[in-house]
Amino acid sequence: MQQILSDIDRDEVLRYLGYKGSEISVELNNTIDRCITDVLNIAECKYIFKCFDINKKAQVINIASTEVDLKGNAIRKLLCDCDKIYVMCVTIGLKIEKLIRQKMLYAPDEAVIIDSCGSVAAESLAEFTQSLIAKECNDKGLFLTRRFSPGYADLPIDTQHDLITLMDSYKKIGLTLTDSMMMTPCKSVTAIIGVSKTKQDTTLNKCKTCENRHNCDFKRGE
Amino acid sequence: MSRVKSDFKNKYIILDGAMGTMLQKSNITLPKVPEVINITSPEVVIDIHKKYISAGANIIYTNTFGANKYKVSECEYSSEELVSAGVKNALKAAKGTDTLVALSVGPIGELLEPNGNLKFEDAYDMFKTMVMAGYKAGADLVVVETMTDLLEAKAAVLAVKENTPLPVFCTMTFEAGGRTFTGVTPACAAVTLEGLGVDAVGINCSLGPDEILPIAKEMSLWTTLPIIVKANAGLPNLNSDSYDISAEDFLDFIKDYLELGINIIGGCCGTTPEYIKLIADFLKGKTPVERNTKPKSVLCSAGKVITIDKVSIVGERINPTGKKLFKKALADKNISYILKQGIDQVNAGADILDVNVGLPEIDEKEMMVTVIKELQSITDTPLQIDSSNADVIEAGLRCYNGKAIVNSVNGEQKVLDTILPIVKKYGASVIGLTLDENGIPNRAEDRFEVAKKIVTACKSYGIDEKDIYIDCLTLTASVQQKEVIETLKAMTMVKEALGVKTVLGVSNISFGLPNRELINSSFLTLALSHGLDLPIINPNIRSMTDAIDAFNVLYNKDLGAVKYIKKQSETTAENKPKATAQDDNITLEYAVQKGIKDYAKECTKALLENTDPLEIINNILIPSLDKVGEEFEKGKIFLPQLIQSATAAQAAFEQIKLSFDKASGVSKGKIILATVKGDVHDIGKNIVKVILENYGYEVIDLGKDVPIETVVSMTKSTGAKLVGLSALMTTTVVSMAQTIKALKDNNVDCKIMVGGAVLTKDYAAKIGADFYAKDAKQSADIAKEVLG
Repeated sequence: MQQILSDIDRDEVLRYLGYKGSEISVELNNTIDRCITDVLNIAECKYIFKCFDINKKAQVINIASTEVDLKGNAIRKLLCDCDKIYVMCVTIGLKIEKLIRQKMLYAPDEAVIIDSCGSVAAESLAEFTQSLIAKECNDKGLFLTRRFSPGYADLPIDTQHDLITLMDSYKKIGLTLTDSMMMTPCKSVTAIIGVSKTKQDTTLNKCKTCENRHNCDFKRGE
Repeated sequence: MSRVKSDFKNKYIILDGAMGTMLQKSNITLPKVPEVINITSPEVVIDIHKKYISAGANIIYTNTFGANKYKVSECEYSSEELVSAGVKNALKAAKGTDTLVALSVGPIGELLEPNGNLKFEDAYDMFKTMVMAGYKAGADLVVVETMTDLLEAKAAVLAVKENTPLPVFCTMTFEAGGRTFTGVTPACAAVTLEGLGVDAVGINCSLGPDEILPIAKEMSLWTTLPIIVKANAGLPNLNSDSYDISAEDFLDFIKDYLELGINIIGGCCGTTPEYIKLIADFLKGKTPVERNTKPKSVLCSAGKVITIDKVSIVGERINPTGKKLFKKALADKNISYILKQGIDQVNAGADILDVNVGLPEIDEKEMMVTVIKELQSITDTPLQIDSSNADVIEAGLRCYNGKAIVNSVNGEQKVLDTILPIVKKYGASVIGLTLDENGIPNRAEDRFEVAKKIVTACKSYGIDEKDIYIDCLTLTASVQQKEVIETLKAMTMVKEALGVKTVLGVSNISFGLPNRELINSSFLTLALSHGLDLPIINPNIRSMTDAIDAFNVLYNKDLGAVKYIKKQSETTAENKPKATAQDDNITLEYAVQKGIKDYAKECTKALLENTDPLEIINNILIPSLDKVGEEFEKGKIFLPQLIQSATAAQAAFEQIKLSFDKASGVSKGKIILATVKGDVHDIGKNIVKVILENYGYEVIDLGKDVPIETVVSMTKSTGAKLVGLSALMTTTVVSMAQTIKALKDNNVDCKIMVGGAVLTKDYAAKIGADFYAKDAKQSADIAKEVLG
């Protein structure tokens, strides 16, 4: 499964590290390369996805034949053209966490770089999974909305628990939650994607609509 | 009372197949908590059990896999009610047959520390509730199944053994790579679970019989226990829940297992009574192949097993004896200092780490548990639990993930009777010191007698020879020169006549002599040639590890001298003359700003020869760090560079501290840091810690998921005037607010700064924080404002 992730986007790693275009020494460049290689070697990429029908009710959107309700205006807006959704869960596993804890003791600079590499890797794995879903749908002449995760805008973070139970993700890919809704392993993504008969605008810069956009140092460029 | 006589060897035992698959086929709507149907539709469950019984299952699993407190919180029934109903359904189905009823216990569904934040004892309590209800309802045995975390499996097995007389099976679930999700290997699972006294171990779920075969083969090499295999009907399609192997093909695969001597066989997801019937019919009248697994001396963590068939190094540095800084770290609960000692030894070649945290003024038991948990969160190296206190040893063994070694017992009957039962219960190995109430015998023969007594006592408690390590005790050559040879003689006798392994702390030999390293490495070589298996040494001292490498070449253990040649050639490369700071004309300012640790250390050393330490701090280090901070704010450097500068400054501070008499001489004030209750994401807090320490502040790091009371009590007891709290998510900012409120309600005299991804300046003010730190640099600015 390692081939899923053939590289980690270096520019994204730098963005997570707050890089603003200064000079980087040869040594630091080498360290970053080494960290990227380390993360590629220890990432245990796993993913699951599944298609569900949805029922739009007055207050909520219900995932058909389940007790899971999606609340909030944002998800309603996202799914306005949709009658089906995909739920996906991905993770790069626990190994990276031990490495970060270990490195924090004697090479904290590498620990933060590895942490960023892990975030980028999880995001890439989510992209990859979405591309599989897109292929499945495009073959049927259907289109996807962008990915939407619990905690985005007004979709409650508790939805996380419902999705993880619904997907049986602990048994299938080792992904579960702590009692405060944190994903374990931390470098994981869960998301909902809408399926529509019409082409969706997915070019949107996520940062532009984020509620935290005025308070964030890690915004993507325009 | 159970109908089982704990005899699971020498015959084939057929287990049932999937429950979930059959329930899905039964067309009833499954509730969120599937165990609820034990009460709402018992007839469906009983019918499935009956089908497996008539297919030939000797043991059926109850429909109670997830009936633990955590998972059943979403339904109206309690864990006890669902378990009890599940067992009764199975008993009803098995009535009038010889089929046994096994209480199925699956994972809690939340990860234990350090991967998640579920506590070991909380998991234990949930399992205890299940097994007591199951026992009361009449289950014949317990199966702990589909485990991915060995520590969680241990909690479940202990819950069975401490609360019921029932036999217990334990199976874990592995990925195609041969490890579980949490990194457990089949060897570690087999060794640890056998130690804990389970009746059979094995593998279930996740994979088909084809993929499980090599894993089962590996497991069978590490245990003499019967082995269980309950494979899925092929590989699951994760997205459609279907499986790809037919009953006939499944049987064909199972035939390969018989050659391995595997004798407890059933099916997991996707299998049905049809699969079980074919297996049962095929095995009827057959007897299993005998396995001839040889018992061997091994130690392990959850992810790494080491066999003591060659010299293995025990690192001795986690021990406060004679170490001022270590004692201070223990008193201050500075766990990262202790962890650093551990990881440095591992990197220097330690195979096992001795852990001794005994200090009169601290709670040794609590500290032992903390250090073991934390060490196991950063390294797979097996640990040696070093204490003379039985309570400390038991607490350490209980939370240890794997098979540990206990240091130590001696020939005193009282000590043997107190500690050996604990060693046996947790399946550990043990070190026996050849001394007793009369002290250390001078003659080798007398030490041998003590060793013999210890070995006999161990065996009487059921501890096998393979798990016994005798320490013939090193005496100081400068005081008892004549007895040095007695240690060596005794070791040979023990090895030859008792057939156990040997261990020896080496460094004591040289007290009071010049050039201790020479005496130590020479004695080490002699000891190795007299049969020493586990030298306890400081692996950071090169001459010691070199002596072992050379021994392994000369005694034909390092075949072709491969390891020796590799290490020596790496060393030659390392020893090439490096450019020094002086050669390159580098100043301390430059070294800090560019984040070059080695140069910073060198420059500081040179400066200390003619400059006042405080002057170096105030006129060079702090201004340099300020400049770095400024550049960080302007975006001229970014996070890794800021950290590298801080690390370089730390190297400088360490040199300065060495030149002070009091280690705390340069502290600019104490700061408490904690990632709040419920939150396990602590990287931000750790970055802040690195930066603050390198500005010369004394940081008391309480870790992650820190209870509110701990923050309050530690702030009070340390007198810290600044508390930094971090929280990553909206869900945990709530406990941040509660922590701040508790500090205020208790009138703790301190300022509070907060940080974390979802926080803003306004929100920080709203929850009562005095300061909001956007990043690590700002936390240093705040510290400066509060503490100067």
